[in-house]
Amino acid sequence: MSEPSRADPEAPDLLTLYDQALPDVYGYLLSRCGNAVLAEDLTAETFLAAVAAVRSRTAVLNVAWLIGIARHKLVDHWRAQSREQRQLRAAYDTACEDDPWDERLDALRAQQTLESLAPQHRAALVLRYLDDLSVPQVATELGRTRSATEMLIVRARAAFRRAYEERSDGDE
Amino acid sequence: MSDPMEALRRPLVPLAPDPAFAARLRERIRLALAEGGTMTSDTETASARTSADGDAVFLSLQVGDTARARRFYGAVFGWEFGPLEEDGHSLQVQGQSLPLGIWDGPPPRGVGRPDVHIVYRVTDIAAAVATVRSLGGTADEPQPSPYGVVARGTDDQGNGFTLHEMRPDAPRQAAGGVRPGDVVYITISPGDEVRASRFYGDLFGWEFQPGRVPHGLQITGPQPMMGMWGGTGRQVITLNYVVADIEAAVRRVRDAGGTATDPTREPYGLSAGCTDDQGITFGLSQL
Repeated sequence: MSEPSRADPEAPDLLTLYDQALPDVYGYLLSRCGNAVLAEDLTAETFLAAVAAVRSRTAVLNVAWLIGIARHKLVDHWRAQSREQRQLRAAYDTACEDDPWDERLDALRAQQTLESLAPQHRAALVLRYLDDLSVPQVATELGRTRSATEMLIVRARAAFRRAYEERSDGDE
Repeated sequence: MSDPMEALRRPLVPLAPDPAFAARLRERIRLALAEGGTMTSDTETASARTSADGDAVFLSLQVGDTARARRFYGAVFGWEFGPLEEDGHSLQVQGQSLPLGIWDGPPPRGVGRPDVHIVYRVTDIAAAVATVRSLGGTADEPQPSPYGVVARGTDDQGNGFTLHEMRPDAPRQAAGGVRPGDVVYITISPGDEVRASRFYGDLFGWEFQPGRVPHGLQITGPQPMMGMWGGTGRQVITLNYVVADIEAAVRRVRDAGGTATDPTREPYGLSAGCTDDQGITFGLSQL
C-alpha cells in the first residue's frame, strides 16, 4: 500500500489552476472544434497531459501554457482524423490558387465552412487565422517545414474559398 | 486591401463546461496528481468509499422477449409491471424492495443473454472507474443518465456490470424488510472466483469467507447478501427470490414453462433451483 506523495508542492497549484482556467481551455477547444463531446474529451486530455508535465517539473503553470497543450491535443485529433478519413491525398490534390479575394465573411457561414473542410486544412486555418499564429508557429505546431506549411495554408485557403462560395450559392 | 480570412480571428472566450464533467475531471486530476496518473492506491480509494459501495441497486433480467418474461414472472410471482418504456425494450417490475427490470435490447458489454445485469452502488464514480482500470478491468467514462451518473465496465475476466454513483447518505435497501418475490440473495458465478474476489474486494471493499461448497465464497459487505461460485466457468448471475410457499411456487414455475428442482432443506430454509422459460437461472427460498 503506497502512501500518495502529499508533499509534492506543485500538486495543489495545478488543481488551483484547473479551477481558474477550465473555462478558458474548454472555451478555446469548443470554439475551435465545434463539438461539445469532443471538446470535453480534449479538455480532459489537456489537463491529464498537464499532470504529466507537472510531474516532470518542466512546466510554468499558467493559462497560456494550458492553451498550448490544448492546441497540441486539437492538432493531434485532426491528424488522427485525417489518417482515419484518408483525406490527406485528396486534400493535396485540390487545385492551388491564391488570388486576391475581396469579400466580407459571414461569421456563421465561415464557421460552417471551416467545419466541412478536411482535417489538415481545418487545422492550418484554425492555427493561422482563428489563433492568429505566424506561419513559422503553425509549422511548428503541425510538425512541417515552413515551405510545406505555406503551401498547405494556400491550399487550405483555396479549399475554404471554394466551399464558402458553394455554401453561398446554395443559400440563394 | 485586407485579407478577408482575418475575419476568422477568434479571441479566446472562456466558457464553463457542464458542472458534472468539471467535477469528474477535477477528481481525475486530483487522483492523477496524488498517485502518478496510472495507479490508484488503496488509501486513496478507501477514503472515497462507504460500506454501501458494492450494494446491488438495480437488477436487469436480460431476456429475448420482455412480453414473454412478463407472462412468466407474472404467473410465478404475481408481479405487476410498469408500461413498456419508450425504448421499446424495458419493463420495470412494480413493488420490489430492490428495483428490478426486464430488458430485451442488446445486453451491455460483457453481459450475456439470458443472464442478469447488476448495477452496483459506488460513492465516487471517478475513483471507482480508475480502480477498475488499475485492476485490469475496463470502464467507460462516467455518463449522466436520468437516474444519476453511471459507468459501464467489465472486470478483469471480461464480466460486465454498471457502476452507479450515489450520495454517501442515500439509504441502503432496508435489511429484513423482505416481501414475497423480493431478491434475498445473489450468486455471482464469475468464472474464476479467486480472481474475482481480488477484483471486487479491491473495488468495493468486500471480504470473503469460504462457502459451503467447493469454489464457493460467502461475501461480507453488500446488500442484498451475495456469494460467489466458481463452478460454472463463465459469468452467470443467479437471483434468489423469497416465497411464502415453495411447493406452490415450484408448481407455478413448471406450469409456466420453466424448470424447478424439488425443494431441499438448507441451513437457511427450503430451496429450489429453477430456470425460466427463456433460460435465466434463478432460485426460490422459503425462509
